Amino acid sequence: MDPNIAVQLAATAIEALLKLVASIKASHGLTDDQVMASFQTESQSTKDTIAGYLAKLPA
Amino acid sequence: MKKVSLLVCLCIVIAFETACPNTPYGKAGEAGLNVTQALHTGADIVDQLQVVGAITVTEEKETLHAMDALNTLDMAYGACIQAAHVAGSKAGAFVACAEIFQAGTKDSVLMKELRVSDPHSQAVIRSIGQTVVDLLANVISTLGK
Repeated sequence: MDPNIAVQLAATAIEALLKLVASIKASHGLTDDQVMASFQTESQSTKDTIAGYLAKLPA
Repeated sequence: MKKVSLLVCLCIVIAFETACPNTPYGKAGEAGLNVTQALHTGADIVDQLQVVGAITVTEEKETLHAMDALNTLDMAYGACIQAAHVAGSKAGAFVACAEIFQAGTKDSVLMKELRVSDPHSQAVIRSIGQTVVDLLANVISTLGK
């Protein structure tokens, strides 16, 4: 693999990792109902994000 | 890239261990939230892999469809634990929801059939799937105690 691409991929993975850890940490201290509300919101957001990525790809 | 994958898994486990609520309902919900967050992040990574040319458009489509299927399973899991909560069920009911979800992941193409040509990208995609498996195993273990 091109070293430049490998570096870019590593940077992308680390950035995504930090975002994920921050999201998980953010749920600390929430009530159960707040956790479930976040769960429902986030799962719909994930579905929308995936649909968005699929929509921009060529057929 | 393998080091990055290991770092991702390690940090997710650390974050999960330090952010758990106390009731079975809360713990079960937190696991579902963590799974969908992992899939959301995974979708971002997979799209970037395609943008930089590490995987093809077809490979991205197949991977995203597999992730969408897992996210749909996660949403069904959420409905299951919500129903268990409304029914006033004990921890075993929440474990049963997680075990049904876990059984579904074993049939997931993300775990067993999905292959991309670039081995580095394959390792990253596999680590995303493994994170989902680990989160479910963790909540089943915790609730089963």
